[in-house]
Amino acid sequence: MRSFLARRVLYGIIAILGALLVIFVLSRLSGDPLDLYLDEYGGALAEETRAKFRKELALDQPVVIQYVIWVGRYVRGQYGDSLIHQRPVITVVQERFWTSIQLGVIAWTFGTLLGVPLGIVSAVHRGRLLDYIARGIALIGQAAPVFWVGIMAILIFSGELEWLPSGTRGDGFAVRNYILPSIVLGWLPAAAYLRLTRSSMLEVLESEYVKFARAKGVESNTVIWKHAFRNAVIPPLTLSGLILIGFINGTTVIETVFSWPGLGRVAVQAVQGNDFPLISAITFLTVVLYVVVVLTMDVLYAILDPRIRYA
Amino acid sequence: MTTQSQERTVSDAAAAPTVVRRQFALGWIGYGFYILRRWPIIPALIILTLLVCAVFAYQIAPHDPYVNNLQDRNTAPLATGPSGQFYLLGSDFIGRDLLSRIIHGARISAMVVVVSITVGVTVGTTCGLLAGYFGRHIDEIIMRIVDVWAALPFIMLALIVVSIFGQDLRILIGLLALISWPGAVRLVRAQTLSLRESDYVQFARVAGASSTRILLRHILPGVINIVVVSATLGVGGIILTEATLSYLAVGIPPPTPAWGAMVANGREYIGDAWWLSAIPGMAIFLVVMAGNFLGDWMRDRWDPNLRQLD
Repeated sequence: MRSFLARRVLYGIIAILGALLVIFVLSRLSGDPLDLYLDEYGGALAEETRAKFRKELALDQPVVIQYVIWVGRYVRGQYGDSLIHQRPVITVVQERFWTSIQLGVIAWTFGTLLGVPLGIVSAVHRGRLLDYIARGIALIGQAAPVFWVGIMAILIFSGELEWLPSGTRGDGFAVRNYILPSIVLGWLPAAAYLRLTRSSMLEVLESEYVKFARAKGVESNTVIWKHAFRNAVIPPLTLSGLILIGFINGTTVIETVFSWPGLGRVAVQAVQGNDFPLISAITFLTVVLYVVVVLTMDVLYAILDPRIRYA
Repeated sequence: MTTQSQERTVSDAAAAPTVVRRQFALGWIGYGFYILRRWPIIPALIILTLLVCAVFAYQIAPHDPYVNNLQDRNTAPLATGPSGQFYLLGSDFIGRDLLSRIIHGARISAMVVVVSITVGVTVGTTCGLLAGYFGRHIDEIIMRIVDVWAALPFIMLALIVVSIFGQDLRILIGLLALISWPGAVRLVRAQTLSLRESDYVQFARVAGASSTRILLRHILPGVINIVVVSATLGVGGIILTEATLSYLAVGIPPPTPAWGAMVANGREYIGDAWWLSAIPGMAIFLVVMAGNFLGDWMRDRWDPNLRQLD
């Protein structure tokens, strides 16, 4: 178990360093990296600001040393100043981070609570009406572009019916502001969970021990929930990493659609405003977040399923 | 599904195919549904329409997708604008014909998909073959790169690349090729690992065939079905990603008619002109769904190992 953990942590660190390398190489490929930094009016930097950045990025040193210095600064949490916001990147990120996490957690809860039970229902009622309805929901979730679903939801529920607001979180916590964004954001994970739960549940329901339990006369609900479900839930769990990636991509889009003041929207604005320090810091943080979650999932998976070899 | 096919075999052996048709409730309609369930006719038609639109965009489109007519802006679908022009799918906020823009958008989408999938899958297959066949260090290095690559939040990467290099069609295609390769590596590597141990590959090696020959003549034909399946399954993802990037205004630069950008531009006019967003989005949805259906169907036919219970 310990060597398994050590290996996974090592891979995680390699992934983070690799991602930083990609960002670094890309920023150096475009010629003078200082050209990526524009002032707040979109013009080239003044010579004194250039000198400051040149010192900060250690541009007079060899490239390898530049990379090491840059990684060191990132690991210690020094991301420099955002060019649009004219404040340290870290405060901008801190302000927006929880808004995104809030939305993400609510959407994930919605996706899981909808996807997993529907997957089971769909497997148990295979080939019948409920199955087709559930699979229809999954089909739309996987094929419809999330921004389009968001805009259509705004059109119908806030434009025509006027039931719900069309966006922004507002101040404080109002449930009605969260409903549309989290349902739209949670739909794709719900679809993914549904399909996975359904196929793994079908597999388990065909297994010998479930047949045996049924033959023994165990009540149908007990078989489904106690014998089958507990084993069928593991494969969907392992794909939570992929679902998280979907979330990071999804929040960026959903926050733009619903004018949500989160990290994803800041990232898009940073690109439009050429704010390179901000966008690279956000990318770094999302990679770290992703690696941590995947690592947790791997460990959880190994604990839950004793059949996994700690290889 | 199993019972149906069993019935079919039994009746095929017993009598002429006309007898088979009579087994269906509702007669011909039931038979039609049966055929539609067995063969992906509708998805194939959608993809075919996309390809025809892509190739003959200039011939099919009723208007020029770039020429605006401010007098006719935001004309509803199936309506005639103040200037007397008829618009089948309406016109956009500066009076460009939506249908023509969608047809030309199909051209862009199809080009992006074909080029990026071809590049991505070729690179992925090569890496997968090398990793699976040579194993050891090569395997370790390639798979670590794949792991790191799969850990990158792709939209963020795309945002960074665009902030560095600017909006450009070639860069977009390159980016999309980069997301499609890790999946192909994993699938091809797994298949190569098992083929490498098979008897005919061992015999070829004993007979003195070089590694290159074994890989190209003996293993590649064995993985090609997986490659085709993974390419088809990738189509939906590529179209969605391209649309998402265009939606975020980091994809195809305007005024080129990209479906995602059309949805984004329609967002502002959602109260007055719903069709600006609804119709291009529907086009994306249909194509992605068709791609997913075709991919699933091909996977079930050609690669029973990957088949999911249905």
